[in-house]
Amino acid sequence: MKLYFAVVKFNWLKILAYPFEIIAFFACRFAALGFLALFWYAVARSSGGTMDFRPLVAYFLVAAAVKDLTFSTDTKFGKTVQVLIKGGDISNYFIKPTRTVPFLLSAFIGENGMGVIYAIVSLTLGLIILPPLGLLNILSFLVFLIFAFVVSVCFNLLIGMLSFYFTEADGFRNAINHVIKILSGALIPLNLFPFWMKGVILLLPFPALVFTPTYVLQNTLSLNELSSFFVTTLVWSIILVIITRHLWRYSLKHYEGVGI
Amino acid sequence: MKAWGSKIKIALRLLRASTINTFQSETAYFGNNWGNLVSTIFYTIVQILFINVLYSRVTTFAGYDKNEMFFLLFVSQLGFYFHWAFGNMNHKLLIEDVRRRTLDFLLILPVPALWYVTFRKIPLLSILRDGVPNLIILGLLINWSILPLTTINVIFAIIVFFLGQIAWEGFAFLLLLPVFWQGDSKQIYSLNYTLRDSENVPWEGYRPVFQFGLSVLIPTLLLAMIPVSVALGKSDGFIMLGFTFIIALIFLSLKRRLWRSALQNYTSAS
Repeated sequence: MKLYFAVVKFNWLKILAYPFEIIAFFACRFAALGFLALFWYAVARSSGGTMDFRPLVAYFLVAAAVKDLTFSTDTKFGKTVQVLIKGGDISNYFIKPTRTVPFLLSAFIGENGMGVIYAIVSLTLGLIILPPLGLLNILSFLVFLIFAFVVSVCFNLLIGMLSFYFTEADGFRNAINHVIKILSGALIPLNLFPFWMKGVILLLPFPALVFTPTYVLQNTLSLNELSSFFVTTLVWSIILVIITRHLWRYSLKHYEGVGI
Repeated sequence: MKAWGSKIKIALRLLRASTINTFQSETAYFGNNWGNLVSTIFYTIVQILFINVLYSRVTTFAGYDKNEMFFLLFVSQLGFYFHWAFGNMNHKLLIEDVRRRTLDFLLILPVPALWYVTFRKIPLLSILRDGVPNLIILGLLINWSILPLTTINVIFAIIVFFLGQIAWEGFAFLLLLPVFWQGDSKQIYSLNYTLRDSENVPWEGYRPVFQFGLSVLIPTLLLAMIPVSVALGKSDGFIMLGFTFIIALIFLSLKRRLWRSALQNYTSAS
């Protein structure tokens, strides 16, 4: 564990070497936030009072934080894995006396430390605009955030593994990203979908990435609703972990690296 | 006059060579072509779903009905592929060249450097593969007969669209230039993607202060918002044409000036 923390720290320090890039990162994120607010403000104005601007913005602030804290934003970790496989650089990690996936993940977390800082800012703003209703919401949020992390890592690895089979798999990654964006609630809250469609989407693993943690933090929860979320998310987390582990081991047997 | 003719001839030859070279590298990974095609179709479906969900809650958005919103999406996608072909890819290559100090190889070539770095890669296959299916689907969704389009407005809109592309290319180019001073500018450059997201809101949905800021300082609304507003007759075509012409001219001249200044700051170990 100590080693992985050292890897996180080392990669974080590498990022700090470019201070202007850090400023640009935050400028980028805040600009995105500003445009998002502008968009939903215009939507709320056009809705003739049926949609409230405040909860919408709070939703997207928390959703952005969840995405960054669980590294599901654009499945960038998956892209990192793809690049390493494509270039053959992943061999360098296989020969290290460490577990490859935690090592790669630690390096990625370090490189994306700014995302974590932004997530904390975004989450704080979201909580100020729409405070959680009670302790149950906060506890549920933390539990579902862990689930979101597990599901996100699995999705990222599954996407990354595509490069074992297709050398260049960026197109497939983009395709999956589009699906994740709409079905996870990152682009539009699932509450705005027609009722039947929302019901179907909630049975899929995607809402666990963004919608479920955000929803449980901001809404009054019935026991039925909470248990339904919990069971669905837990089942998908287990399924995805099993599939990912199995496929990773299977794919490694098919990997051909060039020795030095 | 002869010198100008020769310059134009070289520039056109370069364009041709860049297009062929890019086509060859694009066809190297055939499987990924399918991945990109699937990605484009999924993206279009997601956007259509998004607009449908949005319009299940509102009847008009900033004065635009669903059909007009699809038209806006169509134009903004057209702009996206245009910029991707002539801007994005080449900008990213330039950042890498400066970071790795391999720009020297390019600067010693007997070609106009700024022209070459702007049009080095022209991903014709990617545009056809990703852009055409997307635009066909969106084009079929639009009920063209009820759009209030007139010939003169459409002509104005097309010119405004191209001027907007020139302005945006210039703006995005300025965002990559800090790499010459700072050693990296990937994050700064990625602002270009973020700022493009403003495309979701029609021109009429912005307050005047945002209309000014997002067209003069950051020319993002010139990409699709203003051309669509002109085409639909919601804005005066003649005024918007003059306006975008000036903005495009400013960004083009800024690009040329700052490129020269950036080159003076470029150092390498060759």
